[in-house]
Amino acid sequence: MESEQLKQLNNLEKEIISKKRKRTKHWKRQNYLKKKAEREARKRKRRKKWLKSGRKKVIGRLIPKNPDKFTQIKSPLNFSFIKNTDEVLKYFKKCKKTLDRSEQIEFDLSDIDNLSPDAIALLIAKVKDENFKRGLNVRGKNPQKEKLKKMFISSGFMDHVRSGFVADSSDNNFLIHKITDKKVENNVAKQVCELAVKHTFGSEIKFRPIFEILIECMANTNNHAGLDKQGTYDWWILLYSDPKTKITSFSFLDLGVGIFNSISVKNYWDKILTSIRYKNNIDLIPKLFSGEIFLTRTKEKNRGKGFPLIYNHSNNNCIKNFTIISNDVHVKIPSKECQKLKHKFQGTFLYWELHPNK
Amino acid sequence: MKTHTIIISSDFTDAPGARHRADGPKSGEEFYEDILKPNFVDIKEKQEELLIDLDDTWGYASSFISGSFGRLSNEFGSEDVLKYLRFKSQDEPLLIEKIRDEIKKPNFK
Repeated sequence: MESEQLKQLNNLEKEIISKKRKRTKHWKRQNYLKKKAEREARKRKRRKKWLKSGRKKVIGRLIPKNPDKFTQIKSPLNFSFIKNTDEVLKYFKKCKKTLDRSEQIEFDLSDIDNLSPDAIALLIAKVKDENFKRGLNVRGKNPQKEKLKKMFISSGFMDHVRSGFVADSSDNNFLIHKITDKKVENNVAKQVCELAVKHTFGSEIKFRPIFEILIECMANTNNHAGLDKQGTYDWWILLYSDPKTKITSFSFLDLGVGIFNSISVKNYWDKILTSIRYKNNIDLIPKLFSGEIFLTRTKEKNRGKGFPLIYNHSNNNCIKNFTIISNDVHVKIPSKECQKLKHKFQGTFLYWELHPNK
Repeated sequence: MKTHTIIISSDFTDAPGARHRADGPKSGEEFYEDILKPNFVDIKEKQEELLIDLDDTWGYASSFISGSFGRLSNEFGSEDVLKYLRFKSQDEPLLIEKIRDEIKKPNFK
């Protein structure tokens, strides 16, 4: 009888200890993170289902409140996406809000002090993106500064928007290419590389790094820019050959979900979420370039080599100012200098320059 | 031992694409199915050698390499592939090592 009572007492004691243990800070933290991960997984599942249902396409074409009126939106004075990223993203956010109110807009670039080809690439991609425009008309106002005006006009931007201005096609250092069937186009990459090498090196050598970077960029967009299926988003490439410096700049972009919102990176986060305190996309940069994150939806083990290859090529002496912007991350390679953005960029943007041999 | 040669730039393309046919033209899969595999089966039967000339192209994306050579290794085994295949790459000597690594660790599914 006594031993039975003792046994019961022991069990009670064990139960109390177990309850106390459960209340510890560590356990609470682990439980919180686990539940948070589960919540996020459920949210993603719901979103995936919603996207599959096709409702994404029903974004709705808007009818302008006043078809003759264009709301002028002044762009940042330094209109460079890679150098003034947050301000440019803020600007596009403002434009989008205005469009969503059924107001037609005019991109007012009249007062800008600086204009770079990467910003023009983004501007053109946005203007051609139906998710952005929602069927409304947009137009552009030229920069006042003669040099910038010339650059803006020769970019062919006016060909993409409603404008009475006729572009001067005789002076064109730009090449813009948009792929609508969302594929890896080896011949486009080749054509772009031939032009760049001829302009920068003055020769016809087959300079492999830029071609390989382009194919990896196209493959990434084709495979990872969409959440639920392959080849959902278009990609854009803009090549600018500076006649004075002989530098050729490349801007490659897609308006997909972005690197850090792609399924593969999200899955990677899920795995480690319970073991870390805060989730920060910048922490993933070294893993992305070392190939630890397999950017794949098919779970093929040999994936994840695209970004390491891009990173290796960014070390080439002729390739400079390599910048990647995606979601809330702005990173320069090979230095891996990262900046967390205040305004998110929905998509992936890669910029690099080809410099002459010295 | 007799040696057969595949010159990628002239027999296939000087601008190879990505991994699968579905990715776009001139993919690793296309190269594997149309050129590499038939030639490999043939030389293996005859106990000869196959030389792959990698020069004079615009380069090779990692996905092209694993979609072709990685897949060959996965199907026929890395030992056999390394036994019958030889490479020529004067433009980029390090590329040979890269391909050999892919063959030694075939991960293609």
